[in-house]
Amino acid sequence: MLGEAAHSLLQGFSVALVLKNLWYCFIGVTIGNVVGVLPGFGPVSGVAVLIPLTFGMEPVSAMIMLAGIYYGAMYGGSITSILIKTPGESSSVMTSIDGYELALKGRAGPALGICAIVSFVAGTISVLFLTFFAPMLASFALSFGAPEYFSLMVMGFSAVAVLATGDPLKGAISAVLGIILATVGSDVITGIPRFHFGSIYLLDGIDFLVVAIGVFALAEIFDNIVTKSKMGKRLSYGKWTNLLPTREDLRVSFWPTIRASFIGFATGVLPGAGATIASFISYATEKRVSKYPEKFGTGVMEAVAGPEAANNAATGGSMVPLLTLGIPGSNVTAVMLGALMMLGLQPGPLLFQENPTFVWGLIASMYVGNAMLLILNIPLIGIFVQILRFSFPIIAILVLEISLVGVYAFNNNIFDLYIMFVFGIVGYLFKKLDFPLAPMILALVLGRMFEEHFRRSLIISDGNFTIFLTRPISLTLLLVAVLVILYPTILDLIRKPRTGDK
Amino acid sequence: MRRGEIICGILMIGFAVFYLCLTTEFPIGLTEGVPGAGMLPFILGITLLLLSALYLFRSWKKAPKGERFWSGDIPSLVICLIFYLGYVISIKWLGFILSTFFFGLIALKFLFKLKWSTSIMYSIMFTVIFQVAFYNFLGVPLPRGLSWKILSALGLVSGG
Repeated sequence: MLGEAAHSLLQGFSVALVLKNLWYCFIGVTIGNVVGVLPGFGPVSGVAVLIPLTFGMEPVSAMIMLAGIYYGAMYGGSITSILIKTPGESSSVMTSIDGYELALKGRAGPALGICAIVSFVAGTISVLFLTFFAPMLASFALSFGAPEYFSLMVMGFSAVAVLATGDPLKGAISAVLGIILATVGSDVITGIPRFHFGSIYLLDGIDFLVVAIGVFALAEIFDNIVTKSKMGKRLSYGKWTNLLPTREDLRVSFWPTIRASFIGFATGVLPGAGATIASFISYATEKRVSKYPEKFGTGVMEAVAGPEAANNAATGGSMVPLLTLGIPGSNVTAVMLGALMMLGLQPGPLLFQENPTFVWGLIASMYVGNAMLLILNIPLIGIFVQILRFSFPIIAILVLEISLVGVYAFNNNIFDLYIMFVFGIVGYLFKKLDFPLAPMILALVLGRMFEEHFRRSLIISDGNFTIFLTRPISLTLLLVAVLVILYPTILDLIRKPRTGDK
Repeated sequence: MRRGEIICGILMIGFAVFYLCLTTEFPIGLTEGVPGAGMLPFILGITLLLLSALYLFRSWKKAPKGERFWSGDIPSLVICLIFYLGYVISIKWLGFILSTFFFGLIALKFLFKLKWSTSIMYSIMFTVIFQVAFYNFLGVPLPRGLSWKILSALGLVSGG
């Protein structure tokens, strides 16, 4: 199996190293970096808004570019975290704690340099894991039928609803709303038009991209306008003179990077966990194993290296369920799943068999992309930092206009713009009420498949609902879903006696 | 925030009931072993109703009286929404070029209170960048509307 994977990977490199794909990879990581640097415009908004740029491209080139935007944005977020303590994305929050303290000490350069290096190392390790684990999981998933897929999706929704947020009830409501949105349009089995209110535009359903741009990009701008968090401020950055990390910086960052690569990959594979949780776990781990935990928070290089490596390793991990099962693990991969479907590809175990060139080309491009990020970031950090000179109003108008043109370009349909506008308001209200948006987008992307597998299972069993419980894999997945739902309660029960003892 | 959560809970219950009413238009049960088009929507409607009721109950009982829901600069948000809706509505007849330019100009000047010169400069810059990137480079047929007629009359573009 390993030899086969290595051979396939070599073939993948023959795709990824084609000049055209190298170019798209470069464009992707560069745009991703810029997107990551823009305050209030994280990877998910970046990937969603920039999907229209991939129209007309070959699927492999398009995905190489989108993947580049994804991990480029992950790194870009760390630049603002360190320089101005403004994480572009929640996964960069932990990096900002000690990173900003280092910047205040005049060590922003080495901190950014370490970020670039550990991102490269952890990103490469995670892609290495992806290379060997993904085919194994894919071959196992080949035995899945409709009931197994239905149960897998139930598990995925449960995991995202529970783990992605602190509130399972809100996560569940968000996921159910997402599936409800997916029921709009022609019925998947009988073709009967449903919930279209007489509008021909709704017959084809509601596109995930339109909703994703509304709830992520527009809502973020609306929220910033209300909170005035960045309005009117010309963002400034601290002084930094020496860019390169010292030998000591590299030495203390070595083990945190290795540990964080494992943590990040494993967490990234879990649906709903993703980069943010990975960076939190890594920070906590480094603090626990450190000889001087009391210094954490005052500007310690390990506290920058660990979380930064973890959030980059999580990107490789999150590609595993996306490519092998067609179940995205995070909001960014949910958007990427939608993009894959738009490109006419069906993610899942068969993707490895039916489109090996695509899968391995994409995986190989991630190695190349990580190397590009390193090459790009070390000398170009100064240029990226200039982006911070734009004030929020300019960025807000840029995002509002690019959202509109991006959604219009999707279907050349003005009706989509109204839907995006409505979901911008919905997204803002959800944000205010702390409702997670990732479960809704995930459910919207998978909703039609979810219904199809549900109904096909019932057709197979002649209407017998126990089919989901009588097949071992399906039953196991449903049990895992139940465990995931009960996880917070179990955790509470474990914690309470301990607290009582104390 | 408590009031906001309660209102949200009531709205979601209302939506769930409305959705459930709509699902009755489709067959919910099995017809010759094939599940009807309304089966999953009906299950979803019931699930949303139960979850929303639970959310409302929890908000009623537990939610602390914290930050007000409508806090912050709401007038600016309303102005932004009006400008953006105007942009969406006007794009069809005004065309992409003029509507994008005016939206940028008006929002930068009156919402964000930037100088006229800065507002004009960025409005023109973004309009040109998007027009070139999406229309010329990606071939997206952006709405032409009045913009195109004016540009045609000036001889800057060809075709109606």
